[in-house]
Amino acid sequence: MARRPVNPPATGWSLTIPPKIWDRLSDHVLGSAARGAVLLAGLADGPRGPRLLARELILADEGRDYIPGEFGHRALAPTFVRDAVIRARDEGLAYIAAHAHLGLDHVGFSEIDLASHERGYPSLSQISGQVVGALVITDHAAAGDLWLPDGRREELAETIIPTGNLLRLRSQPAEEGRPDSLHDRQARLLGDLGQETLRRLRVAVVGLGGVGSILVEELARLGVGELVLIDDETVEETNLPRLVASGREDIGRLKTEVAARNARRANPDVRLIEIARRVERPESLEELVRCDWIFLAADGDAARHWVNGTVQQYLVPATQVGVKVPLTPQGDVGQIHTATRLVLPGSGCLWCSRLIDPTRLAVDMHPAGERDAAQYVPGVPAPSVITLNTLAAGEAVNHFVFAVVGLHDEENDHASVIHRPRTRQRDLQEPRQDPTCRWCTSTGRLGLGRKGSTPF
Amino acid sequence: METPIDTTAKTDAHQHVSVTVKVNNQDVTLPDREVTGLEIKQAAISQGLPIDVGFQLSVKRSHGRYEVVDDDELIRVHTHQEFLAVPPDDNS
Ligand SMILES: [Zn+2]
Ligand SMILES: [Zn+2]
Repeated sequence: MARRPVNPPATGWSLTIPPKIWDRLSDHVLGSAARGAVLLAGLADGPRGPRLLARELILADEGRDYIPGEFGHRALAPTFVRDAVIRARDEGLAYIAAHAHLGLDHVGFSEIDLASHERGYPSLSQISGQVVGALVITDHAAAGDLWLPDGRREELAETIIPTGNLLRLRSQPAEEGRPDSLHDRQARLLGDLGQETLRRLRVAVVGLGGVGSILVEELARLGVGELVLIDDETVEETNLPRLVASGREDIGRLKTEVAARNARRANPDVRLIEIARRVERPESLEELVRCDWIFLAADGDAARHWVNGTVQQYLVPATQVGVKVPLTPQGDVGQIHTATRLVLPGSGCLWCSRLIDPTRLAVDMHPAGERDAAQYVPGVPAPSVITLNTLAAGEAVNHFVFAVVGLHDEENDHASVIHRPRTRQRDLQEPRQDPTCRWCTSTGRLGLGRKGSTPF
Repeated sequence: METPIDTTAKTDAHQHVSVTVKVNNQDVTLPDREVTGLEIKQAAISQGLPIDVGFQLSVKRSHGRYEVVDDDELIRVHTHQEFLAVPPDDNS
């Protein structure tokens, strides 16, 4: 298959479609028999404009729902349109009718398509009180025509599919990026447009300890434009061997402060948002839900729960990075492993993978003093070594870079990577999904955006 | 609100009273209690709704479901009754 164009993030309205929904949509509308469908979508504020979040796909059955058109070649039958727009109204979601055109890198609506929107969308908008509109796609391009409840009409700037390669489809490929002499050597791999993509991204790092400090160093040096740094802790002496570019004078300073100083040294142009709070605080979540990618490098079930909720409800992809060194009470070392887990919207989540423990989550949500009191066993510091952190962090950032510039060979490879350095094994682990998960499915919070409650 | 019945019209076979219903969430006043699907759409158009007579009309029934009303179908309407008028979504 021809490689898709690399399109840097665009400013304006965007539509994000979870990978599983995209696969079903493209099979249905791009297959040999062109067919139609409707996406129901939540709404959220994004880093570069309002975001539509596809949550559910309603396929139009050939013959009954998708019929010969009055004016166009084909049409969604009025009863199908009515039922879909009633659902959009009752659930407070956007209605986006989708169909496909032939072609590759360019796509746009036909005169007939646009005349049909002008005829019908003012009334659909009156019925639902929500955004209504249309999406037209090819394999490599997408265009959208949105009608807002206040009467304004907007074009969709981009359609985002956070799959193995994070696809950004536009109506036509982005123009060549401006060469950036500082990043000349890496742009020879990532491309000028790939470099420009990194510059426009807003990435969060949750947890700025051993793993997080490496993530921040690498993301800043790569040229990621904006970093959201979240951690409420201060630097302790025992952190120093693993905290990149830290010194004794940093003991007692906020980890956000140290990470910010380091990021600025790596890239003076980087924009930084420092939040010295726990992730579940509203100030943290408000920033988190407006990111393009989240790295989760914090211990604790609360951080996992809230990042997982953000991924599913706001369709922001995340990578969870962790290192586990099991010790027996006698001090014997078990199978050390590092994990780099991809958490993609709608494709299984940390709850489905049993990576959040409800009991530990409940303990983790108590204030600090009560948290310690609630632990049965007095806290013994876990072993932690910079080389293990580096292994996991490097894997995570590399996956991210390849994803955002489209360098992964296999688009549908969503597996996590488990390293076992003692036996020198490296394994791939597929995500699992419970069909009725309250988080990562259309029966749960998937794509609800700001309509769902936050905190989750 | 229904208009009070005009006593001079009592001899008519049925009384011509105006009834206000909802079409696409907008108030639309109909000239009679018994109207056809087409007449409902025409009234809505003349009162400024962005629809045309080619739209498919549906009425909301008491169980919450919508049923299609044909252009020549005569139906008895009541105040606040809810209708939807939608076109097919044509594409090419
Ligand atoms: Zn799940
Ligand atoms: Zn078309």
